Parts: sequence; structure tokens; C-alpha cells
Amino acid sequence: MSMTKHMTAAGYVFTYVALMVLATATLLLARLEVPGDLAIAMGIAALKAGLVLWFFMHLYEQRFANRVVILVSIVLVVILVALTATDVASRHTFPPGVHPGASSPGGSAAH
Amino acid sequence: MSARVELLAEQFESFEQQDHALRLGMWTFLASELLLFSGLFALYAAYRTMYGADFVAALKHNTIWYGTINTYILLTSSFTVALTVWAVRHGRIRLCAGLLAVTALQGFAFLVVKAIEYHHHIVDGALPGPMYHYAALPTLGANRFFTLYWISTGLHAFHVTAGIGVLLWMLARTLQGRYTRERHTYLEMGTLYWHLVDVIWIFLWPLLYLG
Repeated sequence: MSMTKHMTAAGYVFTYVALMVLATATLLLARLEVPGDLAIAMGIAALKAGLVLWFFMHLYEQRFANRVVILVSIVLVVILVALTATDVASRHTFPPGVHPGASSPGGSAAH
Repeated sequence: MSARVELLAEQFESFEQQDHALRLGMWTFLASELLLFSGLFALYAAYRTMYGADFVAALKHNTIWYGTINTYILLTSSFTVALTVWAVRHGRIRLCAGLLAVTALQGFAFLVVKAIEYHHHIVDGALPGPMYHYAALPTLGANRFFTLYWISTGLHAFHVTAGIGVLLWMLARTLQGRYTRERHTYLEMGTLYWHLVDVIWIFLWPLLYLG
């Protein structure tokens, strides 16, 4: 085995503590109803996902060829989500707040 | 020769090359899983843009503690399953088996909490698509929210279930002595699947319970 970098027990514990602290921070933020808390919560979520990927999933130990696959797919996900949202936001063909009644969502004017 | 010894497949020149191929394949699979979920994230972004206020009203209906307890459960399970790799690298096979069992139990705990929560939604009538009849939130936006809620958490719960299967399968193989201090790449790949389940939930939690 040529791999030299290995996660230490302390590294796993530190990562876990950081994840729990970040999760609790997200929860407090939501309870306080800070303006823009969803954007902050998603930023923290990205940070948490990064910690899991880098340390728990051992990307830290990997060569670039193994890291690039997930990096590229994350970029593609960000593009997909961002462009889908901006497309809907800029079209004005979907009137928001249409109220078709709770039991008949199929017959709505929004379709 | 004992069948328990991991052999070098004939198409590879070394275990190092075999491990690299295995890792690259696993990460490609995880990337495809991520893209599967990203369709739902994109739909969420679109519908939230269309029905912002209705979406927020609908997600306030979700009990924050169910989602939060499950967040802490999955983060902890991610920690315990990461430690299995540490344990096997230090030759502590019994500890590795114990950690796999603990992780699988946390997976079951997650599903139990989810089932209780689903039960509340069913009682309320907060069901997906045309089955929706939740009187307190009679909006199309709320209907869209709960449809996405059921599809995303359902797909996620399916992955948790599959992940528990992977964990139990690895537990059996650990007890058979198939993973050693020197050869345990398959164990490492199995743990990656469980971490993916955690990563997806890290994003679902704020989107479905907090924001």
C-alpha cells in the first residue's frame, strides 16, 4: 500500500464534534428566525457535507483522480439547481399564489 | 486456498491498481446518486421560487424535532461508520464489527422516527399529489411541498434501508474475517454509501424542516 496519509482517531472525533456544533448552530438559527436563515442554513449544510466528504469519506487521503468525480458532480448540481430557480423566477408565466382548493390540485389554472 | 482471502483480479497488476479502480467506480456511482437527488433539489428550488410563502407555511407544519433528532442520529452514525475504517486499519476487527452493528441500529432508529412522522402526515392528510387533503393548508404550494417532501424523504428512506443492508452485509463479512488490517477496501467502499445517505439528509433537513 502506497498510501501514507491516514485519518487519525482524533481527526474523526474533531470532525464529529464540528458536525454536531454546526447542526446545533443551524437549529438555533432557525429557532431565532434570523432573516435569510435558509441561505445561512444551506451554507452551513454545504460546510457539513464538505467535512463528511473530506474526512469521513477519506477524500483527504485520496489522489486527485478520485476527488475530481464528486467535485464535478457538485458543480453540475449547483448549476442545475441555480438555473432551474432563476428560470422560474424570471419567466412570469407561473402566477404564484393560485388557490385551486386543497382537494383538487389536478384541475388548477397553474398547469 | 481459502475463499476468504481477497484475490487480485486478473485484469489488475497490483492491489494498488485494483483499489484505485474500485474507488473510482464507487465515487462515480455516488456521483450518479447525487445527480438522482439533485433533480428533486432542482424541483424544490423551482417550486419554492413559485410558491415561497405557501412553502414556508407548509414546512412550518413539519415537526422540527423529528427532523432534528434524525439529523443527530445520522451524523452520529456517520461518525461510527467512519470509525470502522479506523478500527480495521488498526487490526481491531471486533471493534469494527461492533461499530457496524451500532451504525445499523442507528439506521433503524432513523427509520422508526421517520415512520412516526409519516404516520402524523397520513393522519393529517398531508399526502403527495392528488391524495392531499390537509384542511389547515389548502394551497397548491403546500400540496407541492408535501409531494416533494414525500418523494425526497421516501427516496432517502429507501437509501437508508439499502444502507442498512450494506452495513449488515459488511458486518457478516467482518465476522467471517474477510477484512484485515492490510485488505479492507470493500469495507471502505461500503461505508461511503452510508456517508452519502448522511450527506443527502444534511441538505434535506434545513429544506424540509427549518427554512
